Amino acid sequence: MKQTLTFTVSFTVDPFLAFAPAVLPHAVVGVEYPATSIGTVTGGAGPYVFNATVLPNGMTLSTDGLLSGTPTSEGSTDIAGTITDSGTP
Amino acid sequence: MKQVLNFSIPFVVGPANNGLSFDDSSLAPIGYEDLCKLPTGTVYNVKNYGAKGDGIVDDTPAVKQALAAIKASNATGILYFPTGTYNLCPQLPQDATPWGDVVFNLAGFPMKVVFIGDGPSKTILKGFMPGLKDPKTTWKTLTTDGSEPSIERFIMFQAITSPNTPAGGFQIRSMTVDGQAGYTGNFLSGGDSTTGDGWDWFHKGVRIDGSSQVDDVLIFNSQIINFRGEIVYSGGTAAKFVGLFLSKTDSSNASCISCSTDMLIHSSDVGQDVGVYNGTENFCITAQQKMVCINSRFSGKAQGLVYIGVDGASCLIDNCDITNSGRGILFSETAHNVTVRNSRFLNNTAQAMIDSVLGLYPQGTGFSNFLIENNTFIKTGYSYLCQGYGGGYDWPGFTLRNNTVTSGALIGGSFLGTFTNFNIDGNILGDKAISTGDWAGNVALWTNNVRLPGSFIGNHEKFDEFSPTPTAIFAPISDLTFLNDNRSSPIQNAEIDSTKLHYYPVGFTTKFKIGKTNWVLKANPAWNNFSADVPVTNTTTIRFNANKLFELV
Repeated sequence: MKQTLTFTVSFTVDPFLAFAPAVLPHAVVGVEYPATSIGTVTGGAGPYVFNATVLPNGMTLSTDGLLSGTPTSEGSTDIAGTITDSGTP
Repeated sequence: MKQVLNFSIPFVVGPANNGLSFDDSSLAPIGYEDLCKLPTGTVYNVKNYGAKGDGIVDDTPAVKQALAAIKASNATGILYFPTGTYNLCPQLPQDATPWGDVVFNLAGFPMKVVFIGDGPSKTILKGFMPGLKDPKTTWKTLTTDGSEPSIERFIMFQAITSPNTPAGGFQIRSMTVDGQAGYTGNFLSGGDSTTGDGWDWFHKGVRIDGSSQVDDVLIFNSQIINFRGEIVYSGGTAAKFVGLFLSKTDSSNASCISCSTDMLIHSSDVGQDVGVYNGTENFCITAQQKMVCINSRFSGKAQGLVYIGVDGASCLIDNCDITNSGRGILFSETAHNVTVRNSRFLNNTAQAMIDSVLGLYPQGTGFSNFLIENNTFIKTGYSYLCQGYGGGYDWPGFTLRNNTVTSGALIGGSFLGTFTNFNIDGNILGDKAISTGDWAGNVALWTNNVRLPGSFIGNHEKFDEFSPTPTAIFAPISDLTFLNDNRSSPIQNAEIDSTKLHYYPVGFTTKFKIGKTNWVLKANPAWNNFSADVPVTNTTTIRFNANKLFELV
């Protein structure tokens, strides 16, 4: 016998995670760099976690995306890393 | 679904001090090291923001970005311009203000901003309007299509504050700021709208004003030139302090420095003899401010210096050169606590110093406490001239001491008010110098009843009475008093104001010369001991006697 079952499943489509980087003021060797947001995250599910893989010497990036510290060497570089949202696996 | 995004952002770490290796603080005059010290703050190198400094491209957007970074930091910022020529121009419409188009609008900067270069011969901030070079150029030729240019002239640095929004002040150090408009000697207020010639209100080097205070403004080891409005203007009581050290200003069709603030000018050249209107003027009329000028040079077609100071304000001119001006120093309306010392006045065509009441400011409360000593006056007219309009004004405290005059007169004018502590002492009259001129006040001729060496033997004090009143008050101030015309007949009485007898030293003598013959010296015990009225003839002579009354000789 053909049977028909009605079901309801809860399903959420998170918006695509996006990042708009800030234009960061230049830092100066030996001068404390005030905590500065490196950009704005949209989409996905907040909160977001920043994880830096490349940073200038002497500087740190907090998990909420604030760059700070006192650089110890001059030069041009990229600040690189990942941003992870809070969506369930 | 968990999302992961990679990011990569370009980032620059500049060298320590961002390449600023020149600390010009070492140039500060002894005793002013703290005032002139380069503030501590982050250095922002404009070249890190894309400025070229090649004198070709417009560097304004790049420099503005660096300035915005200072504002975002909310802390003292040092905007460094490495050696080069930076073309700068207001960006419209955002840089338009009711007071003109502005390159650096510092009204919204609560922090101190320092503009610094590598030296006035190395770093040049130049107005990017090449057509302004030629005073005969019409504005229409500044654009290639013949249309009106969008920007005619500009303010390079401006801080006009709003209520409850003070500005942190700024410094201009070790650079040249070039307004790109040559001096033409046209002082027409407002300028010529066709050619741009004249005194241009909207073309200034520095402009400070507004209802909230602007912290210290310092111009240090710099040149600010080629503006047709004021080089530095500070209105009201907005500026807390304006300092000019080791700097030069010229080429203004207006006054170079025009302020109403505490002001200190040290080791600077204001006017540079090009014929600016006033070299420096300071109107201390709304607060008890101070003007101090040390080791500096001033010149101006009208005046080298102008000072107005309400009681409680003060003025010190020390070891300065005031040269090639119409008048060296004009004390206008009111001035108190003035010291002029160890200075040199040369080739000022009218006077070295003059006081004058024109009724321009109701705040005026007369003159007092002047000390003028150890100065040199050469080919500069009267060293000091009192204008003394009308009934004159009181003069408590005037000392003219130990000065040297060559080719000029020590003092002149009309000291008609009440004066006390009036000292003229120890002055040296050199070649072609006299103590006072023909149009002379009565005071200068005498010190302790002795005529000053070299003093002028006056021709006459001419007195014309054109009124129909039967009595005329006259004031003999020289050896020969000329009673000229009169309209009252048959007798015209001549009297001396008895309240002015204290002007005269015992022994003061004057003869009379008359025009019409109906003059009579009225017998009046208030000022003479005559037994009867004295018809005046060309031989009549009177003398101030020991009883402090005039007597016939």
